[in-house]
Amino acid sequence: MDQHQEFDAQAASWVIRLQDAAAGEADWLAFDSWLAQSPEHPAAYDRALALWHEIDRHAPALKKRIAAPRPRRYWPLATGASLAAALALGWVLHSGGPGGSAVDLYRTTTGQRMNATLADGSHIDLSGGTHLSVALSATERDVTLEEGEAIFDVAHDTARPFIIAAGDRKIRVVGTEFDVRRRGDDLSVTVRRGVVEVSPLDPAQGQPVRLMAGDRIDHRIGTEVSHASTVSADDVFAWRGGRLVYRDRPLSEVIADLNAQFPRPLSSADRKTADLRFSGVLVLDDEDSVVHRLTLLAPLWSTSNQSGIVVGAKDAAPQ
Amino acid sequence: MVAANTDILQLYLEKRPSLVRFFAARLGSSEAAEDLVQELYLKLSSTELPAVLDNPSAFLYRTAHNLMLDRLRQERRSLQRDNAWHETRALHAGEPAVDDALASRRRLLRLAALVEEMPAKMREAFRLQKLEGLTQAETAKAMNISVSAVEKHISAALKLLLRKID
Repeated sequence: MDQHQEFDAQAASWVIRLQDAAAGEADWLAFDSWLAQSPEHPAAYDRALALWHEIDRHAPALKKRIAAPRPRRYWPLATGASLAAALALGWVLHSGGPGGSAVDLYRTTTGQRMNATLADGSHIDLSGGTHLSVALSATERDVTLEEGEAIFDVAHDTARPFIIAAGDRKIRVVGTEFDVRRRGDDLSVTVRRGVVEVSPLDPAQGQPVRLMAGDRIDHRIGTEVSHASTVSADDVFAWRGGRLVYRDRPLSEVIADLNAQFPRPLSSADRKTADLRFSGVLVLDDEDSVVHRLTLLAPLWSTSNQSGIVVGAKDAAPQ
Repeated sequence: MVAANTDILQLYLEKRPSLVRFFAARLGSSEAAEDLVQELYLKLSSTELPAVLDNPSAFLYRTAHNLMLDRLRQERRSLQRDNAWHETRALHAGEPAVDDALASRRRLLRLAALVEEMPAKMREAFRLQKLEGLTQAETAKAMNISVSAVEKHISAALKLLLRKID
C-alpha cells in the first residue's frame, strides 16, 4: 500500500468513526491532532467525506441499481432520421442523465473523422476508430476516452474543470485560480492554485513578484508599498460561498468589503475605528444582522440614520 | 477589550477547519457543519467565559457539541422548522443546490459497479446502512454480526470506493 492509499485508508476510518453518534470529546482531540500531523491528512479526509456524502445523494438511484441491475449499456434510441445523419459522420447518441446532465457518445469507425462542438464551446476532433463520451454538468465537464485519439480545444470556464479520463489516468485541464481585490487604493492578490506574476504596469517601477498557491500580496495603489504574506486562500475565496473571513485585518477593509455587498452605506466613526484589527467570520445574510454580529465580534457600537450605518470603537475602558 | 474571550476566539479561528470537518461527518453535510461552527462563534463572542480554561480545545468541542444537540432536539420537535432551517441555509450560503452537485450518470454507474464488485458481506453491510438507512446497530442485527464488524465492513467499503472511484 503506498502512502497515498494509507492516508485514504486512515481518512476513511475517521469518516466512519466520526459519523457515529457515539463520537465524543476524546475522538475530537484525537482527530484534531491527526489532522495537524500532515497537510495530506485534511486533504485525504475531505476526499473521503465528499465521497461519503456523494453516496448519500446517490442513495436512491444506487439502491435501484443494486437491487435490480440493468444491462450495462443502455441508451434511448435516436430518431431514425437523426441516427441516419449521425451514421454518415460517425455516431452521436444523446441520453438524459440524472440531475439534468446529459451524456453524449461520440464514435467514429476506422478511417472516419469527426469534429464536435460541445455545449460549452469546447471543440473535439476525433480521429478514426475513436469512442468517447462527454458529460457536461453544472459543476464539471467530464470526458471519457474509451478508445482512439482526439484533439481537445477547451473553452475557458474556471467554474467547471475539464477532466479527461483515459484508462487509469485522468487529465485535468487546469488554469490558475486567484482572487484580485481592489477597493479604492487597496489592491490585493491571493493565489489558490498555480502561479501568478504581479508586476508594475511601468517596468521601471519595480520587479515582478511571483505568487504561488497560498501567497497574498497587499499593495497600496500609487505607492511603492507592497506587503507579501502567506494566507489561507480558502479564507479569501470564502466570499463566493457567502462568507467573509478575516484574520487580523483592519476594520477599514471589512467595511469596504461590506459596502460592496450591501446597498446601505456603512462607515466608521473615526480613524481609530477604521484602524481596529478584526478577526472573525461574517455570514452575509442581511446588512442589519451582519452589522449586529460585527458589534458582537469586536468592541464596536453601531447606529443607523438616513444616510447609512455608522460603527465606532467603544472606549478602551470597560463600561 | 474583552480580554477573557480574545484567546478563545483566536483558538476558534485556528480550530475552525477541524471543527467543520469533525461535525460534517456527523451532520451529513459540510454546510450544516459550517452553520453550526458559525453559531459557535456567535455563542463564544456573546457569552461570559470562565477566566481560565484548562483545556480550551475541549471546551470549544463541548460548546459546539451542546449547540448541535440543541439543534437536533429542535429539529426533532418540528420537521417544518427543520425544512425552514435548510432552506434558509441554502439561501444564505449561496451554494449550489444538491441537485447541481450530482455527479454525472457515468459517476453513478461507476459507483454502482464498484458496489456490485464488493465482497458479499461488505456489500450487504454497505447496502443496509448506507442505502437502506439502517443504523450500525440495526445493520449488525440484520446481518447477525457484531457492531464493530459492521464498522469494519463499512470502513473497508469506503476505502475500496476511494481507491477505485477515479
